[in-house]
Amino acid sequence: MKFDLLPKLGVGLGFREPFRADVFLNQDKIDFLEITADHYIDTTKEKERELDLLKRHFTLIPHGINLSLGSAEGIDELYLERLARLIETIEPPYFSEHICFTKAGGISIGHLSPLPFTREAVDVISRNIETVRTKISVPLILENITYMMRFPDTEMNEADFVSKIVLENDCGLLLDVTNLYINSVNQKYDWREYLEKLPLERVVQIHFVGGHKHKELLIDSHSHKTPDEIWEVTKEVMKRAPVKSAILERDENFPPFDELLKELETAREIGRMFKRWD
Amino acid sequence: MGLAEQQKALARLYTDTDLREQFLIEPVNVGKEIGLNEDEAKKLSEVSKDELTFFSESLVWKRLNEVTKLLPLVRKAVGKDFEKMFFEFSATYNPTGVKKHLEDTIAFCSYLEKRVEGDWIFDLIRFEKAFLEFNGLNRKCLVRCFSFDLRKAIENLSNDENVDSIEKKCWCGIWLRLGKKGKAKFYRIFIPSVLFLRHLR
Repeated sequence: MKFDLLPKLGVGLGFREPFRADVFLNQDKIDFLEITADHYIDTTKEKERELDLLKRHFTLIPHGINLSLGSAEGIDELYLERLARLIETIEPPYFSEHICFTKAGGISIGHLSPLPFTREAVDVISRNIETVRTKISVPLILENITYMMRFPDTEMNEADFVSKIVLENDCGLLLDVTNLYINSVNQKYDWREYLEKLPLERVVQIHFVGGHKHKELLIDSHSHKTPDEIWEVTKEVMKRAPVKSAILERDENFPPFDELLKELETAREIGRMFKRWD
Repeated sequence: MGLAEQQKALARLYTDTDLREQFLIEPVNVGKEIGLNEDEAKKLSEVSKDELTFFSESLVWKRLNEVTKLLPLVRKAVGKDFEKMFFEFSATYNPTGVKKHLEDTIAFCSYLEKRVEGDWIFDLIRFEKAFLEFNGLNRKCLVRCFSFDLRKAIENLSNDENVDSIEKKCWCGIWLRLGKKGKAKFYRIFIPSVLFLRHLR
């Protein structure tokens, strides 16, 4: 896959229902929207109408949270078929998912759960991506998650793990700069060294937002404005990687919409500084 | 230990508080229950206790957060016991499927109903639950009968005001989807008189 052929989408917002009126009122300031795919799978008539309306006004990028690409027991075929139908409806230039597992042994964990950084986990993800590609031909980009748990049987570091998955499966990278920063603090590593190890030419999109602190840990709660430290990571990534799109991923503690627009403008300026878009 | 076995065990440990607490005390014995041999159980128990507990508890907080969003009135009416009761409930139920937050919320309403029977809050729980069942599960028609006139309670709670006394008054709520576009309508009929048929929206 030639990722440089993907369109430059600019700076957008992770769509959440409370933003509904504001995104239409500020269409000229939002280049595209990322939608949570699960909100539109097996859904209500109202959500179908919402999706149709959004599609008529914005480029939409579906962002999956429950494909569970890291599940050793394989992909949930029914979920995959529904996701494939949604993607057919939206016709996006690409779609995204996480490097994690969310289901095992009939249990839905309810959150993005980390994988051990092992060869076996890379192989499991590769098999699952192969299955996904039998139903979805749109390019897939993969996101790094935050993790608190470290497994005793780890065979490589996180950056090597992510790189192997992306390179061996011809995927793009959705680099969540907030997750990268949070992991670097919680796991005590240097995010610049992490970037050195990544195939930065594969970065298609970034996510940015602020989290909160709980005791000594940083939490990716998507609940606060993007702090300076994360803008610094954003700058470094924009400088070095051919980023085509950036999404503000705010989920909680919503501020006045103008504050979100300011953050979009900051990201837009950073992208312009490094000629990532006009 | 293969990744499949590890993930099955982790999924149970993440979502079952009692099992997790027992595993942290006796990994080998509890490991057997979840399909791990002695070596596998010992290996998995090398995961930091704090990290495992913190991640697992964050899953319940995440569920609580989603449920709170779907039950704004009940959350305010029940007050601080809402969280406590959700934590008790969460140990008994694990939602699955695409609409897991909705399923979780509806199941939590059923759990709450058993605890506040006879009170106007009981009606409020059923009212908010009916709204979710109708809208979230795409029902065409839903009818529920109530014993308290909830209008004042809903108004007060929506304005973050206290609810002092609620009048006892029997009525039925009818949720309907009409026309080709399936536009949602809600009707309230007081019993025994049907003169108070009201088209609310």
